[in-house]
Amino acid sequence: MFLAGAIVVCFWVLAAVEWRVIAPYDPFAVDPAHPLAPPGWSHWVGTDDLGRDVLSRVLAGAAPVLVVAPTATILSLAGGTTLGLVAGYHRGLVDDLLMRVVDAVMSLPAIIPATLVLALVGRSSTNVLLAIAVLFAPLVARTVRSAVLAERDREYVDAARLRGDGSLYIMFFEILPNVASPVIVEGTVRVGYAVFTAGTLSFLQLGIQPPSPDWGLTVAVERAFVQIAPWTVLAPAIALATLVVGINLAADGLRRTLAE
Amino acid sequence: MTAPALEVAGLTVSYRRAGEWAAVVSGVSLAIDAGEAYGLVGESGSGKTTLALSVMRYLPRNGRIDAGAIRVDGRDLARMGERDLRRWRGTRLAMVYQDPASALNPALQIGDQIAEVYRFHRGAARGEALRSASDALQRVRMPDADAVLRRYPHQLSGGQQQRVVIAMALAANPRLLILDEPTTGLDVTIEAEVLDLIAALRREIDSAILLISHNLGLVARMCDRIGVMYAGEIVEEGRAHEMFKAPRHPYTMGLLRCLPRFGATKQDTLLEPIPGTLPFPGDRIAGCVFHPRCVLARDRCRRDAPELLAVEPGRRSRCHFSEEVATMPHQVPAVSPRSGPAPHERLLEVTGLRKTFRGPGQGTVAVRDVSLEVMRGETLGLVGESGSGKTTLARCLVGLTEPDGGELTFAGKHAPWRGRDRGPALLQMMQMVFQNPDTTLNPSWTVRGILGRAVRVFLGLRGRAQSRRVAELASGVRLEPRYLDLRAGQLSGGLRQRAAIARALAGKPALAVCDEPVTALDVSVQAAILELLLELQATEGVAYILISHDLAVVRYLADRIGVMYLAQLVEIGEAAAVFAGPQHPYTEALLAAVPVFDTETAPPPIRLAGPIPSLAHPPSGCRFHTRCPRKLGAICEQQEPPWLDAGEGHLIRCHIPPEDLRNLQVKNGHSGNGHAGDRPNPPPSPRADAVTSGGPGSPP
Repeated sequence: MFLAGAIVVCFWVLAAVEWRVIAPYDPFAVDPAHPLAPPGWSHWVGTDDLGRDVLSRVLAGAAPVLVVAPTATILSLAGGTTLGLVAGYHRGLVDDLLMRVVDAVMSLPAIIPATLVLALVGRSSTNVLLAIAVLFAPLVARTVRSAVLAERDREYVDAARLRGDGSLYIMFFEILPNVASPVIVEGTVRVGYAVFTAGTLSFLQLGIQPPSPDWGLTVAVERAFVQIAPWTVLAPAIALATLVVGINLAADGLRRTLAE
Repeated sequence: MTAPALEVAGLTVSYRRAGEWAAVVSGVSLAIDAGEAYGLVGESGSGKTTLALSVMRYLPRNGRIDAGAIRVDGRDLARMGERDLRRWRGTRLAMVYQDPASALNPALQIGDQIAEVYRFHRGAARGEALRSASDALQRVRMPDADAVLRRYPHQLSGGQQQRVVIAMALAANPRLLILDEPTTGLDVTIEAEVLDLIAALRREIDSAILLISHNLGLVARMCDRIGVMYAGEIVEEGRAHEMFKAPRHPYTMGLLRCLPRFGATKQDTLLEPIPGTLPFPGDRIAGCVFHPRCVLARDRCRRDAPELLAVEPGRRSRCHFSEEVATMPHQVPAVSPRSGPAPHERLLEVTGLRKTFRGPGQGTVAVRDVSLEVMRGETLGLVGESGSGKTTLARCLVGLTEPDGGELTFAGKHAPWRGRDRGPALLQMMQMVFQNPDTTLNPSWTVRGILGRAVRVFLGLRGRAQSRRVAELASGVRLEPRYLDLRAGQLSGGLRQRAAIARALAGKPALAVCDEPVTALDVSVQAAILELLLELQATEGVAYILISHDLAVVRYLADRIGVMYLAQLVEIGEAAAVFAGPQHPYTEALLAAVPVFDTETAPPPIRLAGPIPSLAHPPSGCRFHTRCPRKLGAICEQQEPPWLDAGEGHLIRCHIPPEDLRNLQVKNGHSGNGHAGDRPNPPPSPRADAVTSGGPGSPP
């Protein structure tokens, strides 16, 4: 299963990097003569309303999402790990405050605060990335915190205190290496969700703008033709789905490996 | 004579690890008659629990029986189908595990849990089953049995829980009762209570008993015959009292020589650890499995594997040279590290230490008004049961827990309690060795990294000077250089504890607080660590505060001893004086509770009544009055006892004057429990009269 997931993920990463080479057509080339052509020999997955090759656009569409999702995840891991370490190690008031904020953020479906934030700061891929990072950081923080709670009362931490080591040293050099595996697992799971959230936000046209071949955006733009040319919508939707499933399968395999 | 209740013949059991099947039990044969108790001893990893699980056919998924037969009542369990097996287990086999709390279902009342056995295996109706449950509890002498039926497991003490588990095991009148470390997680006084119960039950039931323990003293006391296991084989088998008096296998002899015998001290005895380590399951050893660690080993041992043969009536030994065991040469100690009397220079003084943990109501007083002092280079032993406040006291001293009040003086200077306020010099002078070898080292770091960090922080050494000091530390604790670049997780418990001791001593501290430093270790490793601590004390001049629930260990190492009960110190004095008496009634009971070797000549033991009271609601007056066998009357309930001097700084907190205590204790023959009272200097014989050992499962 891990292998299947990894293959799917690798395929999309390859597409994102090398779509210029792989794609049979220029994904931006408009062909007014063949709008909404059904799948066939010349266009394997047909064309969209402007006559652009759907297959090429789906391949190229992997690029934006595979930039946004991992970057956002890394940012949220960095922020969330720091928050989780501080909350878990210091406990008390710091912990209570941080965790109540986390509760508040988690009580809403991610899409609602994201929509609000993007409406305020403006639509752009960078803002989508930052919004996802900010939304996911509390979730990461919670995972890290619970891992830290299990470690902080271990005797090696006491030994570090007896050396007079400061709390920053203890948090980052003594505890962090021992909570790395939950952080890594959380990270891979989060990438899947980030792909999904980025897709949703571009579907709502809050992020990247046309003519980008981004999957979420394409689904939004082409959904008017779903009755007469379903391939224009189905292809990017399936692409998104396979990427998310692929990432989750890989994450699952990784978690099992780390758990052993 | 009919067939034995349990007969195991040529049993071989393997576990699969990383795709390979490795034998954990190989070719074990033994037989237990009805009404007989058979003890199985050995260090962790020797295969004793696996043997028990195979007899129950409870092996985990990755385990399988390769060969052999397990016959109970003539039927071979090894070849029995799942359905038959279930019925057979319920009616003929029963097992009591180490941890009673996890053997009971926390969501069910005790009565329902016991009644279940009668309902499923006897088909009894609910009311009848509950009545039987009540009878079962009375049979295990549960006080107030009918009330206990309606309680939940968490409302019972550890000792009571184990009683319930035993009651359930006996409910079906099993042919075979397996007890796997039945008292290991319990306090000494509770352990004594449970052992008394098992001893009493043996006279009432005719079940065969298989008792598994790492504690030689316990097995010797409880069993008729004993088998010693090593690396999956039984290496020696014989009648309990004879075997430990004259072992016929070098491993049995080695085990006895590395145990601190009850009453032995560092002045008169040297512990001899067994060299080397237990082989991993699956390691192929040509010839005798024990030969790599055996002093008697010669070419024949490396070539031919010995058989388990009768060497005298009722005794079997797996050794080519069993007749030489009695004269087995002693190991020569590396150095002779026997510190003389400590110089009388005060290192640490604590007065009026108090610590309350906040909680419901008034909170829990964990340490109440403790005053003590430690001299330079001496060892102060602290004993007491779980919840007595030993660990909290230790953590307060080193600055990990901040007490509510009290004064601390270190090396003549007033010192702050908070670790953060102490400054590097003071931190360096006071270090701690922790209990749990699994968590004491950071699993992500190498040993070199851990020691290097300590050396850098304490001594400011870097680069080559740092590596030199690290190498010096490692050789000081006998840690071979090849272990330095391994991570903590790749080391065995004993090696980890060595590294932890090296870390504590990195900055040449004046005081090391050792909190149960050998509790989680096997006896042979324990001996090595104890000798190491002594040796380092002689070379480095470090003072120890040694916390342990194992009285033999404390007696062996300590110059002075403090006894704690329910957050208070109740007795303190020179080790010899405390063991010789007069003693606080609690100390007396603690000493009497230790399972010793020759119970036939020992006086009837003292047993404490009732459970250990809750710290949140301590008894009024003398805190020990609820369990004290020498309670005077109302005065004990109303007034806190004063500190009375029994001579030469030996203080006892009791209303009974020391002279009267001495008379009471001598009259009952309890003075020093026959170990040290009338014999101030027990002979340094390798075979003293009392054997005891400590082991895992200590108070937190």
